[in-house]
Amino acid sequence: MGLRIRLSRQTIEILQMLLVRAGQWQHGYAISKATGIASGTLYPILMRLEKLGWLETSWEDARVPGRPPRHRYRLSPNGREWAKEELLAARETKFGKVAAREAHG
Amino acid sequence: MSEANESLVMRWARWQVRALARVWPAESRDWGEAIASEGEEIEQPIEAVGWALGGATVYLRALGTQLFEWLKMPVGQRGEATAGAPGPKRSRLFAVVTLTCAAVLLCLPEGREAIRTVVSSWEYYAEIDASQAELARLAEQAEKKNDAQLMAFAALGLEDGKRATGLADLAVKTEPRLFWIYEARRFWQNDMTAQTWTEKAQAADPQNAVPYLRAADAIANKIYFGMAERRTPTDPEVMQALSGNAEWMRLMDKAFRAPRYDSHYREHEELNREVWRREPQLTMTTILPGLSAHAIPYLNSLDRFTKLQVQQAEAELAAGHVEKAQELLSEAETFDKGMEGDSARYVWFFNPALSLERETALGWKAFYEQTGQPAKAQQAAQRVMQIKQRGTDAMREAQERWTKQNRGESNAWVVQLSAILMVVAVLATLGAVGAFEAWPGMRRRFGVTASVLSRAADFAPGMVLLASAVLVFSFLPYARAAAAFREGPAATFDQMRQLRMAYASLQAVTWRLAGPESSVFGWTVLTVVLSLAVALILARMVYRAMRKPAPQG
Repeated sequence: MGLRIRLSRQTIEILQMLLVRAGQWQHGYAISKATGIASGTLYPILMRLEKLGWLETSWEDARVPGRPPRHRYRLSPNGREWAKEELLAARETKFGKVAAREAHG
Repeated sequence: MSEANESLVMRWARWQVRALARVWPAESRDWGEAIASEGEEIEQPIEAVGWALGGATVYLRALGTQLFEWLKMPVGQRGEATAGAPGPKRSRLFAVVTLTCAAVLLCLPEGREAIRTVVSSWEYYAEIDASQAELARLAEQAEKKNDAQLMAFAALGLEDGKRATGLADLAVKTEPRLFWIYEARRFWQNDMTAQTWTEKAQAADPQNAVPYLRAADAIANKIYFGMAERRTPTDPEVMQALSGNAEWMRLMDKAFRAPRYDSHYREHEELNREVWRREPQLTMTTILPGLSAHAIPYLNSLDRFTKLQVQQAEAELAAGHVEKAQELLSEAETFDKGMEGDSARYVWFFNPALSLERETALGWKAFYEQTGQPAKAQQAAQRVMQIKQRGTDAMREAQERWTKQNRGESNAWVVQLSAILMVVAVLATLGAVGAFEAWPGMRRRFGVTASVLSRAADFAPGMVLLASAVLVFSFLPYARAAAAFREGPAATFDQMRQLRMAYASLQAVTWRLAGPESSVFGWTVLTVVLSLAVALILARMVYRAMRKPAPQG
């Protein structure tokens, strides 16, 4: 069992999104577009997940010349396990059910 | 939206996130740069603006986190570099929270009034004429608004006679019922306007004895001080000089025959109350001396004239003019009764009319004895005894009040000492915290000075809070007395006494602390503090000796 955290609806949505493409690097803007979460909410959650060790981050060289390198994220192996456990637990809660329903269409 | 506008918006949004990334707190700057770099990928202007605004909130949050982390560190510590080095142990957060709590306490109405009052009591001691400056400001304000009450209030308190006269005239012209202010002003030395005021008072209130008594007092003053230049005159000498002055005798006679005796003290008090209610920022130092400076005729002059009346009645009786003698005694008696009902009577420790009453009663006793009316003479003698008893009771009551005033003074000590402690603690906090924050090397170069400053940085903020709390709570009885005075339709004797005691005791403490007796006070405090220190050291030694484990085996 990993570090338990209080999961907000937005955190659940972000974890769902990262779990769907586990192992693949995601960019902040893409996560924001996929979940509909604004940058002001998204980044504090990412920062917290990284601090807890759930998230791996790295810098990717810009594909378009002249643009700055981009920051990307994916769940760490441990983070994946913990996230699955937390999401299972969260499914039982109201927020979890709603988020899970929305995530799976 | 046009394309030109779109690009402008986009440019602004990208510029904003880039600018924020440059000033982002170092601990999380990566994230600022991440937001900025993602901002470059956005094509839609509205999305770019939303992204930039979101970035700004994350930046503020990071700033808040950085500030909180900084506050959680001990005073003067900067990151890991100085961690563990000797220095203050309490966090900046502790200092900020305690100082904020102290500031909140002092910003309460009672706290503000406490500070104003204590400051004004010291200004009064230091002869800084803050109340005169305040009165001058009020006078200007009153003239602008054509506010008669405010003008009257300023006129009664301002030392500048000419200015006060102008204000009084304007106040009475605007509101004629304020005519009594001509009778209520006490004059400072060399005030050339005194006679003008007295004449105006006589013209405005001709049926009242007080304006004539005041004019007589001015003459009596002149005579007394003329005699005192050579040596302090005896009472019979003063009486002889006064009775030989025709103008003094004329004015006193006119006063004793006047139909009314009214010092208008109640109106004066009401005026002060009204002004204080409207201008609550005024201090006791401005309000109360105004009442104390109320012009009440000299008790000595009244006493002396009554004695002269009685002596004259005896002379008339000896000459066989019984009716004339009776008339003189009745006149003194009527005047005395008129004075007894005056609103200023509770300004005195005991009723001044009592002394006059005794003189008259003695006069009546002699009169009845000499006119062969033993029953009435006996009644008069009994009255003299009753008056004597009332006098004794009044003295006892005065002593009780004096005791209460002394008790009030002990509370004033708490107020003044907590205020001084608060100032010292604030200075110590600013000095110690400022030194460690401005000079991080202080932690490493840990000498005796730094050790003292370190203790000050740890304890002074708490001391500020403690002293502020004590100041506000010990001032509460005074604040309540002032509020009762402001709110009441008419102040009771107790309210006025409480307020006067509050004022007097606060003033008294400034004199004890910094006046001629301050060296005695200083040595006393030093002795007490050193004794306490010695007692503490001894107690600690005994405690340590008791805790020391017994040798094994």
